[in-house]
Amino acid sequence: MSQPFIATFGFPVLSDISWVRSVHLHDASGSSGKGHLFKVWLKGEISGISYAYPSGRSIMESKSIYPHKVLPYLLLAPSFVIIGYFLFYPTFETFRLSLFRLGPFGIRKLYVKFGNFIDLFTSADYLQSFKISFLFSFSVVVFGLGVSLAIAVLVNRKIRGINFYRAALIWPYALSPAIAGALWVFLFDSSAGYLNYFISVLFDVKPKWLTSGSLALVVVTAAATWKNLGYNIILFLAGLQNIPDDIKEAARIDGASPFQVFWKITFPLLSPMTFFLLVMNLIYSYFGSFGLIHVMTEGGPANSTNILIYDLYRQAFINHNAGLAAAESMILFALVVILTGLQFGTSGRGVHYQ
Amino acid sequence: MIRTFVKKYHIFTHITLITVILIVGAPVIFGFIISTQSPIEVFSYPPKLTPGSHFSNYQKAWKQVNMGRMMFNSAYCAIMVGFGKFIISVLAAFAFTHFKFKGKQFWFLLILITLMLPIPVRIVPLFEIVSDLKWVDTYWGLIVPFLASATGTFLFRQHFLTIPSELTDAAKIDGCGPIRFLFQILIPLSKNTICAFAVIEFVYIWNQYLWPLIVVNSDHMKVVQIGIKMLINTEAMNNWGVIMAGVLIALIPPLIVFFVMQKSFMRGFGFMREK
Amino acid sequence: MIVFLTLSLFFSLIVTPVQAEIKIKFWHAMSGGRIDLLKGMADDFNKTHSGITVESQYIGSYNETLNKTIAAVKAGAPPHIFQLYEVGTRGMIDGGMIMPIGNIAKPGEVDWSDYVDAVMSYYKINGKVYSMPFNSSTPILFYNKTLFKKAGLDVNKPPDTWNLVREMGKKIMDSGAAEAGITWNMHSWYFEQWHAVQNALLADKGNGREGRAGKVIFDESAGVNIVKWWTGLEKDKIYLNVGRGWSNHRKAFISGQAAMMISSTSDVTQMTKAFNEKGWGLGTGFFPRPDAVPRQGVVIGGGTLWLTKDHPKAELQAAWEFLKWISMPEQQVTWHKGTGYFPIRKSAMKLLEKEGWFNKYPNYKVAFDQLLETKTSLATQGALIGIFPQLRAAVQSGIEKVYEGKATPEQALKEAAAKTNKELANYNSLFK
Repeated sequence: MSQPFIATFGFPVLSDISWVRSVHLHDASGSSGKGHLFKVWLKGEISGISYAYPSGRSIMESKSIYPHKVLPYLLLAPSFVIIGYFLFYPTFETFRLSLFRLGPFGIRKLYVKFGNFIDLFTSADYLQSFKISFLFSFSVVVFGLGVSLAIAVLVNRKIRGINFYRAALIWPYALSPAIAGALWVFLFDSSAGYLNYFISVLFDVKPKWLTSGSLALVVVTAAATWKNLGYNIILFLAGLQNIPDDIKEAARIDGASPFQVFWKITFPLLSPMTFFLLVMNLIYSYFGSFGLIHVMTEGGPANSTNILIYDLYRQAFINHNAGLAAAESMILFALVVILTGLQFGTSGRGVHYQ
Repeated sequence: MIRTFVKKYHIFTHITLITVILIVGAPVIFGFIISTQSPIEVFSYPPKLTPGSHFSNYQKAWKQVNMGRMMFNSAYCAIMVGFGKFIISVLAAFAFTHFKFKGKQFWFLLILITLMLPIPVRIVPLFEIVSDLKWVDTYWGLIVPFLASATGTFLFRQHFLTIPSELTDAAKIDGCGPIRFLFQILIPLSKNTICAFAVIEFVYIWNQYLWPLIVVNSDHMKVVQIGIKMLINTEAMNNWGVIMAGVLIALIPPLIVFFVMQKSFMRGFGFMREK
Repeated sequence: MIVFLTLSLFFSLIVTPVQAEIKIKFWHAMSGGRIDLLKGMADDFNKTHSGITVESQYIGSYNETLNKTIAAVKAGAPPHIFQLYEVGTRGMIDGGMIMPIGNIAKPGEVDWSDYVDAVMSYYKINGKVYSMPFNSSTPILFYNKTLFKKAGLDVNKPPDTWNLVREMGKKIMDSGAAEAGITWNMHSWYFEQWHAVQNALLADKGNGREGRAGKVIFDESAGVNIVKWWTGLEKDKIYLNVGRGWSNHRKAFISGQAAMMISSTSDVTQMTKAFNEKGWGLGTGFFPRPDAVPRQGVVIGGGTLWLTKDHPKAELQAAWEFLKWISMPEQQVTWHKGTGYFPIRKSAMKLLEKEGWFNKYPNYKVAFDQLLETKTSLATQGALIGIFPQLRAAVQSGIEKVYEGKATPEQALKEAAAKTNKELANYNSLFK
């Protein structure tokens, strides 16, 4: 086992890092675990660094931090200036509106305190939207992450033409929601769609994909999941490529099967990215897709695809009911804050950082 | 024996990949087929599934809404936003991962919840603000409101936490200040993440519709999604061939960005280069 | 001498008042080729009206145009003129930021009697005109003459009653000429028109014209009969259910999947072109009515132009000049020829008739005749309700529920009416 040693040179300039081998380490505090020995090339000179991280520890910051007191605030300042002015400030205004009933131009208004919220929570349609949104969200997150991880692993190879394969898989993500919706309608239209044409030729039925309540939700969920695959694939790929091949190579030489390599090494090391994508997909499932739904079903048939964000979109831009839309924004916001908080509370723990 | 096995392995991979692409890419493939058809061919039943030869659709799409100018506007905004957002996010992520300060959790949460305030929620008051700044119908109005969001900060925060702390220790002992550490060590180590971020952000701005619709008044400031919507709204009978042609033209720049970034993907660290 | 000339030139320059160029922003929702058409018309106006420059800008759909206008109003920079769909009339009057046309038009400045009665009866409320009617359409029946022939039907006799639609639709299907008899998109507009055709009202207080509408009454027998017939056709597959949106029913008609289609008159141009390319014969007929009821007429559809009020007097006047100009018969003729929206002035129609236009394009004539034969009544004047989008969403959901067997027509409409009434009560509370 080699001792960690520190490089002694001028200002470090990173030129490369490469993994050497796995090691077992015990550190001063008595905790032990598997570590990795890395060779670091800084400014052309070699230094060596080894480290170990017992797994299962949730981390909110690096173990090694800088002692500056004022600098962090300076680093955060640009973010907060822009967020404060262009995000929070308009949102306060919106939230304030939720206590009013407003005419289309906002000129006519009536203070109704919680009237909008009461109207929403006593509306069967709105309550149904919650149920639909939960179903929708759950499916988008679970299937989205599952399928894109599988695909990302598949395209994380150096075979010929891999870049074209990747591009072909990313393409749907770069489509605008309106067009993606239009294409899905072309495919799934029950009377003239391509899919039903094939199905009717083979089986003599024409499933009512978009005109029957239950099927419509399935199709819309599939479309939303599909639309976001590219996003997940791009990021999973980045995460996978951040894992040094050398670790996996060594494990394979040690006799591990590809399956074991994936579950014991790749997946844990991928967890920071997986966690990121879990949160982002949850947010996407609750806040995105209204454009897609508008084109495909307008929330129908009979409100069966009327997820919360679409109802919000409809109140704001079709009914021009700013007060109600503002109230819905607050409710949706609170809901997703809670869900995300839960995510951070639970899964944050299992995330492995090197 | 081993050689044929390896070859077979690749063929198997290729077949799997092609199958996946056919399934995942089916809608886009149909879009391509439609883009080569005339309106009558598109509106025929049984559906016509072979590409036509109506390539004039592409010319029409380009000319009809002045695609060139719109794509330039979108690309300019996307690049500016990407770059600006990158700097701002990286600084913030660094603050969260390599410093201790009061209320850190709170500040991070504050940034994170901005993801739960999407455009439809704040669009009208936001427009009032932008209008007061006299940024209506300008690039500023299209770029600045997008400059700070949690995506970049969160993403880079996740990534920075995977950097071994010993590296920071080594740098600190060596008298490397935080800013130098950030720019000369952390960022070079984040190449893969940066490239992914670049593609994501480009596509995000490229696909913006609602905000440009409200903020842009003149023809020369319109962006690509408005152009595509204009193609869709052509008369009573949508000329889907032209629409899809426009869509496919609009898909080219994101792909270019992706390919350019891919080159950098390959040069990430850890690819066994014994020096 | 030279000094004198120079001085006089100098004085003439400073004495002549410099004409300030007034810029008028005109936001509209007319897409495709109509963008250039309107731009051209605006240019024509600008050339003949020095000192005023009208900028015609296509925004998007009617809704998007309204959304952008709302944002612009709130930011203090509204367009002078914007276009909106007809059912937004009550909402706009209530909105508080439009300048009624009646307030700015000087008596006798516009010959309102020259306007087609059906148009004026919609847009004149309590004797006052609030917006400038511009592009008007109505629902008509389109039919495929070629397929009719194939099915053994008389190509000159399209069905104009519900029973005939069912009969002829069935015949078409049985003969194999087409997969379905008829189609139209899932939209409340047709439901509303079928009320008008029966002289039935959508809302109380005389369809909202004798007072502010307090509740909707579309769940009464007239409405129920409409939904019964509509969903009955769907069940028997005579009606092809193409879902929502304005694209699919046209697609089904052009591809020959359905031999008949109900849609807006503004489709005539495109349908004619498509059918010519296919070598098929296109026919048009009146919007089919229930058998038991004499034909009352249809309600004007399409859009209208609104003037916003917060502008200096000179700009308002300039915008008004443009509105006056664009409604002149010559401009209406240009507009009709370029789009298929029919001219809303009788004199414009006469001009077209003189040219023999309708002999060349008989399909346009049908739309006119239907409008001219409309008998004015509260039903055909059109309902004035401030929350039409909500009403439409409720009606559409209701009919879809009946499709799926989740409700009977009575139950579905009752539920839709209850929902709408709740929203209407909320809306009206702003005007107590």
